Amino acid sequence: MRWSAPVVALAMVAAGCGEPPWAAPPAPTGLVDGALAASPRQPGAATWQRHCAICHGASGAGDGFNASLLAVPPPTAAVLAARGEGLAAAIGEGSAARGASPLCPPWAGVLDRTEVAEVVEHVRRLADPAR
Amino acid sequence: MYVSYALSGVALLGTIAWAVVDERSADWRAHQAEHALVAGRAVDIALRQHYLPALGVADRCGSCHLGIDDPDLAGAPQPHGAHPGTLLDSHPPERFGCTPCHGGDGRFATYEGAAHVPGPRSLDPMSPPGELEARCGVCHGEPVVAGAPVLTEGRRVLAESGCAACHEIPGVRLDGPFGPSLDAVGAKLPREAISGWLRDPGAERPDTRMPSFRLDDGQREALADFLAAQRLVDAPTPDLADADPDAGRSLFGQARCTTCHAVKGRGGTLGPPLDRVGERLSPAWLAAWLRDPHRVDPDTAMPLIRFEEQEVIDLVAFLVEEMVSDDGVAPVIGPVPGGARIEAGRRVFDELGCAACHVVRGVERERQFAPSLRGFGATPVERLAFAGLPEGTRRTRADWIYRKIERPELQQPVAKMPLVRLDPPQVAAATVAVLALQEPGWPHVRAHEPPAAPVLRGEVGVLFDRFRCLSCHQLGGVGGTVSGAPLDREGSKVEAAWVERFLLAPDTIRVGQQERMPHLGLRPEEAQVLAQWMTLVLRDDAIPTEAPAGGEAARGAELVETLGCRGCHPIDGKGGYVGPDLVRTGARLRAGWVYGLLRTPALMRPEVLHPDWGLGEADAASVVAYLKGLAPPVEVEP
Repeated sequence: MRWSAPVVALAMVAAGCGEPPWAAPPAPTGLVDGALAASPRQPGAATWQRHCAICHGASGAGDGFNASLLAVPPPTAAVLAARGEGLAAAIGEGSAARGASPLCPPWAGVLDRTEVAEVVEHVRRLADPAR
Repeated sequence: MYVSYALSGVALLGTIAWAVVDERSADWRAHQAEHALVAGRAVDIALRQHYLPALGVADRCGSCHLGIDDPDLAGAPQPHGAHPGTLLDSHPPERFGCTPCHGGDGRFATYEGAAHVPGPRSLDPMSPPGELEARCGVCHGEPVVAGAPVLTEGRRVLAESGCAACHEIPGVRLDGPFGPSLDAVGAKLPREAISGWLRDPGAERPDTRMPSFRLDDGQREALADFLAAQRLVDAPTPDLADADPDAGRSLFGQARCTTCHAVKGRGGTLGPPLDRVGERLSPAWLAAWLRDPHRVDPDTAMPLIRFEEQEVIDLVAFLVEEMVSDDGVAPVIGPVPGGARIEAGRRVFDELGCAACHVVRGVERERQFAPSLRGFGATPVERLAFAGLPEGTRRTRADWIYRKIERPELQQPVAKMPLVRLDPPQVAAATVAVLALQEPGWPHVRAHEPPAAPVLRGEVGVLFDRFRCLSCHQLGGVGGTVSGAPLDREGSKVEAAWVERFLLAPDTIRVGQQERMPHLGLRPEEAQVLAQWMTLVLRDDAIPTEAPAGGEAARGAELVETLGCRGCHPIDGKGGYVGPDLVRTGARLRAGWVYGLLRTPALMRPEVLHPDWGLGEADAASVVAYLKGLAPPVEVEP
């Protein structure tokens, strides 16, 4: 019994010498990770392509095939991105709600919040490819 | 004696002490203490566990990952951070645990024990990020899984590459032959062209779905002889002396061939591109094909288009004259090859399993002869052979499957599997889809049984087959995707008179759309049968036949302007070209359908995603009244 105290103390010292538990080693990546990293997913790109590119253009230059047919030219991604935090609301409520032409409809009933947020992210990427 | 008692007593005490110390200094305690600092709240130091016997889950992951449902900890360093995304809303850990979606061993509350990374003792280590979606696919068997784009792409790749011709793949149905019939290929292509195609199908046509079989010269030439002898349709070469290629060009446009066939990179992808068809395919075969494609290949997606004999000749003349490269001329088919190589070629055809995709008369069609992929995603790694695989291949299921698809020729012993032309992200996605082929026996599994083609009896069935309606249109979840609008509710959607006239003389519904209904040459009685059948059978009782009364056309006209309908729809030629012209919509669409579309677009056209203004009953009825009044009803010419 007299020896137990030093043994416990020694064990505690030994335990304390280990790696800090939260220093997790990096996970090795496999072939799938490597192949997918080569073409990173762009959230919002598909939604942009389907709903927005028709007028605003695939690259956000405001030159979609429908653009020339509209009475008011659709804004470019750079103009849209400059609206900052208000862009998500504008996509949801439509352009008429902001006092502009009614040509861009409200998408809130069709796209959910995550999709709108992803599209906003994509608009910012288009406006500034360095992002 | 006393010494050994003393020593074992010390050893026992030491062991107990070590156990106590080990427990007191466990990783999770340190994490929980640290979490109190990171999250700024008191933490009750205790193991946390989700015990779900039905899933075989006893997950203690929450002992270290304390912040997964705390939005304030988004982006905090692990193990304290919140779970990214919104998946936990639909998959609460109290119901699903952690390891069914992430893998690993949830019984352990240590980093190594829980198999965060593959280790020597871990049977099912956690999935690395790229492979994670495979676990979504274990329960979600449907082809398109929201929130899992890699899995969805992988399932598309598996289906469209024709993997199911040779492998049984749960969730992928392949009813007809995947490739064209080869019964008449000897009359279609010169023998040398067949040999050249077999050398490397992708060199001839980069978008071909035919994989590469790595044939040696002897196999290839024997197979070319065997195929060159297949001349079931041996029509005489048409006399093009009196043909009118200009008339052929007009017919080419009128029949809307580019809805399915690309020319100069523009056009559909359902059929092969036609750029060099005039110098590749024999005029005799082209003429036979245009007269009745189903006599040449009973399983082709191409509809019968009723051309007159002179029209066939004019079209062939147009293809031979214009669908050629600079100095291209129509090919000449040589005599039928003879000799022993034909029999050798037939054996190659058998051995390689060509009949899994292609029909040749007299060769038994053997499908899905390759190993079944049912449950393949759970194959123990020990059963997979890694010998011969290149450096950088981990000993994991994922890497083995990736290499198998990417470099099938490296497999030992050498496998028959051909090389499918895929880029690395497609190989990765297909790997994820194969990994998802597991049958864990959980209560949450939603197996996807792809629907069978609808059985259409009688005259309607004959017409659907003759004009191959389901090559482009969807019905009962089956069919092509050239048309974006499934036919299931067509009878509740369009006016009967409009359908009948449209079938006889299809006009442009959406100006901005390249894919348009071809002129098939239906006879009036055929159009009438189809129109009546659609009106009676393709109905959805949830869709009203009429809009509520009381709509005011003037108010509707005002709404059409203020809502911005012109952004997508032209009216009198002014406005966008995305949606149909609103002037003619009134004659085409039923009032109840338009009303429903305006009130609940997501229910009516989920595939189109018409915007939703939340219109009230009176406003929607007014828009309907305006649109129905814009155009006179369609009259069918007798």
